[in-house]
Amino acid sequence: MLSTAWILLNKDLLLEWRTRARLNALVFFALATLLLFSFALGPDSTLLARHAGGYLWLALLFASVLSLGESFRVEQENQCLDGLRLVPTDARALFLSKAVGNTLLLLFLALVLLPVMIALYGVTLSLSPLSLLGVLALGCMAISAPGTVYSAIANHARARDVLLPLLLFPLIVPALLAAVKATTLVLQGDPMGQLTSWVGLLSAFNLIYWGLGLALFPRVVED
Amino acid sequence: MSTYLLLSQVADAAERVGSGRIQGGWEFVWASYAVAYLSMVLYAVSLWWRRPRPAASRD
Amino acid sequence: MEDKRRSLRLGLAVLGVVTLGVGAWMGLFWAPPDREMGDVYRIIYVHVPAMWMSLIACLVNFIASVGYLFKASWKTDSLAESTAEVGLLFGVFGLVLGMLWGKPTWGVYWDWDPRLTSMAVMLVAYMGYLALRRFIEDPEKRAVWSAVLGIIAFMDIPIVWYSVRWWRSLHQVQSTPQTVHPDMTLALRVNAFAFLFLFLAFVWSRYRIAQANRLEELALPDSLPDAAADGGLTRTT
Repeated sequence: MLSTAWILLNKDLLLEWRTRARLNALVFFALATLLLFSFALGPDSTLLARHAGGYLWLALLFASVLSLGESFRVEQENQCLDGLRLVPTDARALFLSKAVGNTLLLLFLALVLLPVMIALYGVTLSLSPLSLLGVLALGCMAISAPGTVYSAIANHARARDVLLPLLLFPLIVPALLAAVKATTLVLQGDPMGQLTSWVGLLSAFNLIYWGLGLALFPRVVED
Repeated sequence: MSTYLLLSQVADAAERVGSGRIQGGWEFVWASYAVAYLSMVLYAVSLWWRRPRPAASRD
Repeated sequence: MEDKRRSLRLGLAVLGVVTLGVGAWMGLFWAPPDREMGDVYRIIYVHVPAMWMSLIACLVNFIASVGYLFKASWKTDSLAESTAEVGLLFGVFGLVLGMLWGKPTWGVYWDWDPRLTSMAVMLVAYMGYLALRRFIEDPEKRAVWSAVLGIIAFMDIPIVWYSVRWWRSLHQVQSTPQTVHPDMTLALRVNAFAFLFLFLAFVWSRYRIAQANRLEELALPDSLPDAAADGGLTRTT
């Protein structure tokens, strides 16, 4: 199953790189969102710096809705999903490849947004860059796992563009809380040692939802 | 004499304590019960409205 | 048989209404005022049972969703659909009641209290569940996918609860439980049972509606995934 997932992932990544259009659009969208937050919330730099973590994750979440929606549309347009199903692959491999692909995409977005955020909001990094990377990775994973399941479902329903965020947003609240808290602590310092509990929550969320995704995704795509 | 005065003041306060530190607020209580019961009544009406009609009506 | 079921359903509803009347009298007049909150606390006699029913609905929805994935049956699908809707009803007005209780006690309608906040998140999740059901035409796909959704949403409840509680714990002192007057406990129990009877009557009626809708959608008996235990759909009345 893992090798199949790897092959599928490489296919998706190659496709993504060849077109690049979706990637560019996503980057611009996320950047625009970050900018809009600054305009909406005013130029008070201390306030912006304090809430930078929140803005970053909101921008990522909004961008994820677009990217998740696209990830299955590509397949659906040419009925490739049926083609994939004809190949005797495990549906779980499909889930893994999609979810990991979405994670990588979001992580890439996060890394692009990071310097912009530092410039716009004047944040500094109090803890190590490795912990920041870890938090970003965990957060992106947390959005991608249920997001992949939901986008597979929403793609076949009416009003799919509204349905995906409606389904995803309430579910993702714990992950959002944890990711924002953890990011803020990494950026502004963690005098009371709270980072481990938030990272713990994020990890638990990931464990549960990657597990559920693996278990339930086959039922979603089967005929 | 002063102890009696003190005791009567304490007795006064004890009498007031019985009905709670927050006085009144009955309008919130009525509003809540109204919301609760009205919601259930309206839902019951909606259930009745959507009730399954017998098969004969489809012929 | 149909008549016996119908009178049972009606009896349940009547029992619920009567118990509710008793409970209302107990809650509004019979139970003594609270030491801290005076008479405003009486809202708990409608707020708490509503929240309990909403949680029971979530649990039954979860069990029905898991059940459906193990063995496809319109019975479990209809049960899932009805508990989601009834659970949403109790949850929404329960939340409103919580806000009406908050105004005189906290001073504000909303103060991000962990319990109400978690409930609000879950209500949006179950609204999504009902929206999904409305937006999928194919009954079988609808049943499978909403079962998946029901499972995912239910698993989120404890996570949401913990995360919001941690999120709030930095700002808020948790209220210490006080000793409760036994009359209050009794009044709460009576109201809880009243709500339970009404909840069951609602779910049962909604279940029948769901089954009837399935019958209309699936004109042919052999398109049913489970012809044997289909809840009587192949019988003509």
